[in-house]
Amino acid sequence: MSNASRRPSAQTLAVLEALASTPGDWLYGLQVAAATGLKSGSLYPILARLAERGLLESRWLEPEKPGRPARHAYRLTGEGRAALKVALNAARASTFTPKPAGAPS
Amino acid sequence: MSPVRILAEWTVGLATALTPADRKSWVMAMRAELHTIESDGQALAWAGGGLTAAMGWALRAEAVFLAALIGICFGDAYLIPPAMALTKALGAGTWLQQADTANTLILGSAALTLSLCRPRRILATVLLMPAVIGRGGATGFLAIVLPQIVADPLAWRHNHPPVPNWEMALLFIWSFWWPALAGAALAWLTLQLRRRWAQNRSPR
Repeated sequence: MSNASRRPSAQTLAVLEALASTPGDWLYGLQVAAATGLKSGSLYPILARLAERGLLESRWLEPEKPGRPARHAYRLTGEGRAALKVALNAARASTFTPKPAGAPS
Repeated sequence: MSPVRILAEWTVGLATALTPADRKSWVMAMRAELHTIESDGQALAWAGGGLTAAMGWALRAEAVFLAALIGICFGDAYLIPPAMALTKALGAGTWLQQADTANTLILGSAALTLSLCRPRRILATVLLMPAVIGRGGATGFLAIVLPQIVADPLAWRHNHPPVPNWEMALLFIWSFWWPALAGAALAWLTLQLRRRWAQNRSPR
């Protein structure tokens, strides 16, 4: 099974949801970390993986204050939004499995 | 700048140095965020996370190399004694029969061969080898075994005929250098696998 077809982890899902919460806006790593509660050591490998799969796009933005380095910002691609939708549906399906009529409780 | 902030900067600098080239921009992104964090403690935690990610990426990139190195170190312990017994039976010089000397030659040559692929691996080799072979740790390795490499041939030169014949030379190569050749083969395999992984990675 390839990485791309594997079901995303809860952390990956949280990152996708954080990025989807402000569609079209660019978010910095710190903002995504604050929204998801992930530490940098978990967050950046997830971002790198998502970018490699084309689920998010990234770009360097000019710093707000002079003398500071440019910051890297991220937002979901159309493919990323579609992947989130599929993953959320799969998550709901796996948590809600209706029992057949007459089955013992 | 506070000492904690300086430590955070050093930590993220170390992370940058450890990270493979194809992941450098991600560490630079992390580093840029560091400058926007007001709290020194949080900055250090952020930098520590960066170091963790960098180590993960580095280990993944070097996985085949590390496996080869550890394999050579353990293989040395189990496969060399029979070769040593054969060397002794055929009457090679006493310095060839020194287990420590032989081990050092084997591990050193294998590690150097592997390191040729990437100079940064020399550091990993120096740190890993004494830990893996467990022969008294780094102190014993550096203080006892390495000087023996110099001392043993000198003693041998004064007490034995100076030049071994071709049979002995071939035996030496067979006994002591095959792990290096195996290491070279594994290093070549590493490069091939890395190229294949790089080709398979989608260029988005």
